Parts: sequence; C-alpha cells; structure tokens
Amino acid sequence: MNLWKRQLLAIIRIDLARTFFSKRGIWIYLLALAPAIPMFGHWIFGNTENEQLGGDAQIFAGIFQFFYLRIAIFFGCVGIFMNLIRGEMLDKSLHFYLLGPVRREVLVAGKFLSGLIASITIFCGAVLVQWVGMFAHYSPDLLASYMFSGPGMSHLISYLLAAALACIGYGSVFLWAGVRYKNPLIPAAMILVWEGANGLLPAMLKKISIIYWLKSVCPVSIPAPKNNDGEILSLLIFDIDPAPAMVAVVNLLLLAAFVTVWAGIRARRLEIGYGTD
Amino acid sequence: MAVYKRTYRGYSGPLTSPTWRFTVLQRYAFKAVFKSRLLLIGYVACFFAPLALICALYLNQNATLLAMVGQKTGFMKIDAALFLNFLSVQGVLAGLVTAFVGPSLVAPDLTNGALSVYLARPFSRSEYILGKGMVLGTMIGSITLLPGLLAFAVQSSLVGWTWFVDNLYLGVGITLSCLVLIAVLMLMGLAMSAFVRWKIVAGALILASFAAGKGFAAVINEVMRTKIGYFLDVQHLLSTVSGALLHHPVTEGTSPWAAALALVVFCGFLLMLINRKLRVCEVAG
Repeated sequence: MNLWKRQLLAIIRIDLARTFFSKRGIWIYLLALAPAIPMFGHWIFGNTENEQLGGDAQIFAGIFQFFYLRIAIFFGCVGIFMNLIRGEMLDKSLHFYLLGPVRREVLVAGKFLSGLIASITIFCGAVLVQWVGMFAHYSPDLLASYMFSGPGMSHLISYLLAAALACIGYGSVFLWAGVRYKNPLIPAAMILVWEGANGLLPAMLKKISIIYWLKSVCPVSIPAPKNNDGEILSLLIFDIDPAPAMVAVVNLLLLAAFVTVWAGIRARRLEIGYGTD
Repeated sequence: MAVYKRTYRGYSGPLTSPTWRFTVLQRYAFKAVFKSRLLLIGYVACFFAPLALICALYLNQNATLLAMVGQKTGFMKIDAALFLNFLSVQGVLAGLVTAFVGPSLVAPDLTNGALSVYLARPFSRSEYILGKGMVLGTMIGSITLLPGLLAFAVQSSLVGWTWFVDNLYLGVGITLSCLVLIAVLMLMGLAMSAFVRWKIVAGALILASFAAGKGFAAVINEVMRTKIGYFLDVQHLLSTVSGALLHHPVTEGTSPWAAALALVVFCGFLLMLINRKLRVCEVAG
C-alpha cells in the first residue's frame, strides 16, 4: 500500500479511538442525543392521541434547523475538530506526530478524516434516533405510508445529508482554526455570531456562511416568528431564498476542501509551544 | 554575600487589611487578563453600544440638532423596553467576556497545583473565590451596570427631576438586574473554569451552556407541548427577572418568582460545583 495511505489510515485509527471512547467526548454524545430525550419522553409519557404527523414533521424541522444544525453540530464540531490539533497540544502529545516521518499535510488530512468519520457517525446516528423518537408513536400503517409513499424517506435522507454536510463544513473550518490559532475559541465565537446574525445580513452576505447552504438542503422551511418579543435569538429563524440543493452540496464540499488544504499548508509552519493552557 | 548566609527571613513589610485581602488576587488577575491584546480590544468594543445609547439620549433632547433633520425632541421613546433591550445586548457581550476571561481565572491554578500555594497564606477559600470572582464581576459590571446607570443619569439630567422621580424604578431595576446577571455569570465562569480545567474547553462550555440551554429548552417546549423547558434557559430566566424589575414583564414563559427561584437554585448548584472542585487536599483511598 502507498506510504501516505498507510500513514493516513494509522492516524485515523489512533484518532478515532480517542474521539469515540475518550471520557472528554461524552458531552458530544449528550449534545447529539439531547433532542431525542424529550422526543422519547413524549412518546412514552405524553398524550399523543390527537397529534398530526404533519405537525410533528414541522416540529422536527424546527428542532433540526434551530437546535441541531446551529447548536448541537456547531458545538460538537468545535469539540471534535479543535481537539484534533489544539487538544493534542494541550495534552502535550502532538510532538509524537511531528517527530514521526509523516508529512504535515498527511497528518492534517488524517486528523480531518478521523474527525469527519466520528462526527458524521455520531450526528447522523443521532438524527436517526431522533427520527424514531419523533414518529415511532404513530401506527405502523400511517408510518409506512409516510415513509415509503409520502415524503418521509426523502426528508430523512435530506436531514442526514444536511447533518453530514454540517460536519464537513464546520469541521473543516474548526480544524483550520485549531491549526491557525492558539485560542481557537475566538474564531469559533466569531463564526457563532456571524452564523447567528445570518438572518440580518443582506442576500449577498448571507451566502458567505455555512448555515445558508445547509438550510438550502433542509426539506422543510420554518416560517419566521411573527412575535419576536425582542429576543435576540429569535433571529436564528429566518426565511431564505434557498439555493438549489445540488449547488449547496457542491459549494459546501468546495469550501471544506479549500479550508482543509489551507490548514494543511498552514500546518507546515506548525510549532509546538506547550504553554500553561 | 555568600550563598549559605542567605537564610529565611519573614516578610516585615506592611500587610493588607484582612478585609480587603481578596483585592490582591483581583489586582494580579486583572494584570494577567489584560495581557491579551485581543481581549482588550474586545472589552473596549463592549462600550460602543453604551456610547451610542448615551449619544442617542443626548440627541433625543437636543432641539437644535433635531430641527436640522426635521425631527422634534423626544422622537425616541425612553422607557423600560429601551433599557431592557440595552441590558439584553450588553448581557450577551457580558456572556462573551465571561467565556473568554472566566476560564483563565481558576483553571491554571488547579492544573499547575497552585491552589495550595495561595491557601498556605492567611487567605481563605471564600476569599480566593471572591478575589477571582471580582475580576469577572468588575468587568461585567463595567459593561452592564455602569453604562446602564450612566444612561439613566444622562436621561435624568437632560429631562429633569420629575422624570427622575417618576422613573426611579428604572434605576433600581437596572441595578438589581445587573447584580443578578453579575452573580450568575461570575459563578458560571468560576464553576466552568474549576470543573473543566482546560481554558479553551471551559470557554466553549460557557458559550454552549447559553446557546444549548436555550435550544434545548425550545426543544422540550415544542416536543412535550409544555413550558417547563424555560427553566433550562438561563437567558430567559434572566430576562424574565429583569423584565419584572423594570416593570416590563415578559409575556411568555415562567412567572418572575419562578424564574428568580430557578436562578437561585442554579447559582446554588454552581456554588456547590465550585466548592467541590476547589479543594487543596485529596486523600487517596
């Protein structure tokens, strides 16, 4: 096997174990599965007799766009991808990689792929769990007709695609931030504010964000709230003129590729400064 | 002098009064905080909104300038809603300041085992917490309480004594709301810093606890068709209490008393966390 490929696989293997099974990563599982808790709670303890499947589909869309994409996956990717480089710096273990006969670009690519596998597995898996929690209380006949004769299956695939693209988009940006900045929280906070303010931006600037393209992939649009009550976070819900899903997918993949290559190039100048972090 | 003659001599200089000893920690912690140029820029940027508000208050009463743009005095309504919105914006900035400053206060002392060095001196644990907390408290107060009261004072001086007397509740409300905000953010900053120990992760956790708390509360409310989710939303609890104090109640969600009680429980939990984590000795079993 090609040397780079073997090195890549070795890095992925080591990092996957660290991401999936570390005690430090438990909160990521909690964040991903948090929406499933009230969904299963509602199924088991709630009164579900008078509910409409369409209403639940709308609620699921709201939770997915408002909480899952913007908060759960965002902070999950902050935790997973910033940990890949900066976390090793804090653990004082990055020098083991840097002393090895491995190109920095291969190291960054390996770490990105391991983070991607972990994040996609966790967050797409959690989407499936939430889907079950949300719709499992309906009768099997109704559910089968929604899934296979109605839009259910295509919606589920779109949600999975959006979750995977969110991991790719946010992951690449946070990996770059982890390579570039000593305190990657500053760019993370700036991205959070930028993505949050997306609803206020003019149409042109809206497109310079990840959430705009992710919303274009989502199958159900959420209407903007009529009564904001002056709450700043109500701005997170906004109507957009969505781009075609294919364009959104290609744009996000291109962005991720560009940012990852940039991070790889930047990693050539990476120096270890084990401070008092 | 030969090295062997350099023996221990006790400190014979002036001692800080025991009451104000916590300010020593605060002074040194401040120096460390403002070493970061980026943080300093961010902190200064927190004063843009107050400056804009004070300018707007001045313009609102300046007949000459307003006549030039075809407006009359009092075109902007100065009421509880305005101050509440101002406090909301400054509150968000205060949350960001907490996320960046809070983790660097306690975490390095715990990671490097320096807590015992502090507590070996005539310095109690509560003084240590107070000293570190006051750094956050002062910074948050300077971007929320101080500008809020300054804006109130400016408006009072421009409009007159009657406005001041009629709207005194606004001044009291601003003070109490900011004190509640300071207490919550201060405890949250210290608790996360002590709990996580990694500066970056602790900062991310503070940011996430605001955003995720709000999101998770909305998820619970939507799915369970209930309103108990609001108890997990610290921002909602704070704005409910502030709204009640400024006589501008929030229409949806919990009652002000329930929100206040939830905040007390939350602060108690954070204090418990700090108390649990800030221990010098750990006895191995």
